Amino acid sequence: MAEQSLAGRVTELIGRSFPGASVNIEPGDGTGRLAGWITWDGFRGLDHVERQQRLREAIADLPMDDQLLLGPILTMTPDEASDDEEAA
Amino acid sequence: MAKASGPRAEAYRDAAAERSQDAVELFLAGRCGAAIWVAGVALECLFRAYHRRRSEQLDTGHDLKSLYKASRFADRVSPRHVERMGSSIGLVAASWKNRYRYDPEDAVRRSIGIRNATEFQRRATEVVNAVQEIVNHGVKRWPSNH
Repeated sequence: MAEQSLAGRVTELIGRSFPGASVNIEPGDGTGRLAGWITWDGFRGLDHVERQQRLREAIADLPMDDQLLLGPILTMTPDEASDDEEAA
Repeated sequence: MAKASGPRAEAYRDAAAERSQDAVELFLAGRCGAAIWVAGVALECLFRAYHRRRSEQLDTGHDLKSLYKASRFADRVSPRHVERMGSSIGLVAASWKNRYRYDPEDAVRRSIGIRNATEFQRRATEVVNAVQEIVNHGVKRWPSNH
């Protein structure tokens, strides 16, 4: 069986900690570090430092070598992440 | 040969630094809504600068989170800064929409979900400070081999 990609494993861990979250992370151009954003209603009421702490806890089970391949991942509520071009 | 369109990467980078300072000056003048909008523009310039180093094709519009991912700015963030940058970029992306250029200050405040002027001033402080931090980080780590 093919080994799951790092993006797949991170998405799975995030899904466990943040049920129902939308995860949009991938390495830029297929290489480089993983970057992107998570949209989750449960971030409402948490400041961005607290959200990042929750994210750190969510991925704590990843081997350290894999954690070093993660770039900043943005943590947003659905309202914050909405595309304003549609609303303009 | 296709003609290059739009500013060069270095021009976007320099604009990011200038808009970041403009945001500070607007904030100090008490223009919190304008300061937030210009701060977001500074971040947009920075991400466009990093993206333009590699490509002229970009279809993200003005969406900061999409621009962030497309820019590969993440590759320039050292592991010890990842969490801090995630918080700072997330704060700005969550507090900014391109349509704010048309909105009066009260509409910007309501759009962000803030109820009073004091809290709005605090958010503006956080956004302007975050953008200064991110832009400084991006300018300092600008690759020299372009």
